[in-house]
Amino acid sequence: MNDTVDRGGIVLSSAGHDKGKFFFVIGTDGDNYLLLADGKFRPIEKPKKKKIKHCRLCAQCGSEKIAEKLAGGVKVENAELRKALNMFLSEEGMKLGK
Amino acid sequence: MVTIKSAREIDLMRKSGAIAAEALRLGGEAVKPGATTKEIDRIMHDYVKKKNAVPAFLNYGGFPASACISVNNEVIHGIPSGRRLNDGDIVSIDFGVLLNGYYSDTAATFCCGNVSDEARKLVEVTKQCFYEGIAAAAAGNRLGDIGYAVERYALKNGFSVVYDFVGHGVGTQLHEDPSVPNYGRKGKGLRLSEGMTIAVEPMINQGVPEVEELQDGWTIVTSDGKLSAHYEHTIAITDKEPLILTSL
Repeated sequence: MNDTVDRGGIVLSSAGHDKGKFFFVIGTDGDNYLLLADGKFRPIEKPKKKKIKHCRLCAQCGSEKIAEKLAGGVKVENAELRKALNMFLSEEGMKLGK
Repeated sequence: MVTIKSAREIDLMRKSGAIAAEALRLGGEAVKPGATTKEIDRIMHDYVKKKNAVPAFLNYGGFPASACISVNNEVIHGIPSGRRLNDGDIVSIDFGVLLNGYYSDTAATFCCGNVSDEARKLVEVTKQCFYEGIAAAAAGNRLGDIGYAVERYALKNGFSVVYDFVGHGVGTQLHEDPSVPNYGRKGKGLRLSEGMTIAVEPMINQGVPEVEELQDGWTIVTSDGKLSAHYEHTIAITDKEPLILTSL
């Protein structure tokens, strides 16, 4: 079973006040938590620490450019996250806020 | 981790599922007294290859064939062989397809010639167990609702569900999270959300629920030697009725 998600992946929050929102995975905290940012509600400077079991994986890699930057330790702008997230959602036919 | 599929991905899974469904139909057609399970496997394998898809079970974990064909007291994971089918056998065929990176998984139990009333009832109840289960599979409900519905219908008809093997998520991997048991408590378990793709697969025994593994390391049989049937589709959860992705 696929328990891991790479940095640059996209998840949907399935519980909590941000339920139904999509985020980029920008890191992990231990085995049970992901660090999430969407560049809007959660900026990259202040990511949301969220339990893996409260996330649903939408894409292992939401944007190669962002994944590469995160892997290389290069700063990712919030605007980049927002743009890539919107592009992913429109290309994949996913509905925001569902 | 549980995955959510986009509309594009569900469309791809439906294409994969259509090939699996047609292969299963062909396999079911070939279930006749005198046919060998190997011949049925070959028919299904050849069809999938013709469609430029990949039989998903072949070499999966070392499985030596394209279809799992389980006869009578065999529950699942039967290895196709030179065994000839007899009039009155019930034959469970489980089949998976990989197309464009997406898996689909489906199964059904077929009657070979004239089967006993009790065997036919088992096959029909198993199929209905699946439909009872997916009737509870709407976004917002929980996994326990599916399992509860499956088990309740099986028990009501005097049969038992296999506890040792369960359904599963399907997508870019053949077996993904979550596990989808054929038993459960109403309102308990993971909440179903739109875009989840899962294989619901009731395995229903005529006698006791216990099963054993044969020495071949694959075939699972009922521990009391009584009959077992299997029915499965890959479904996508929506906010209304689920979509059956492995239908013709």
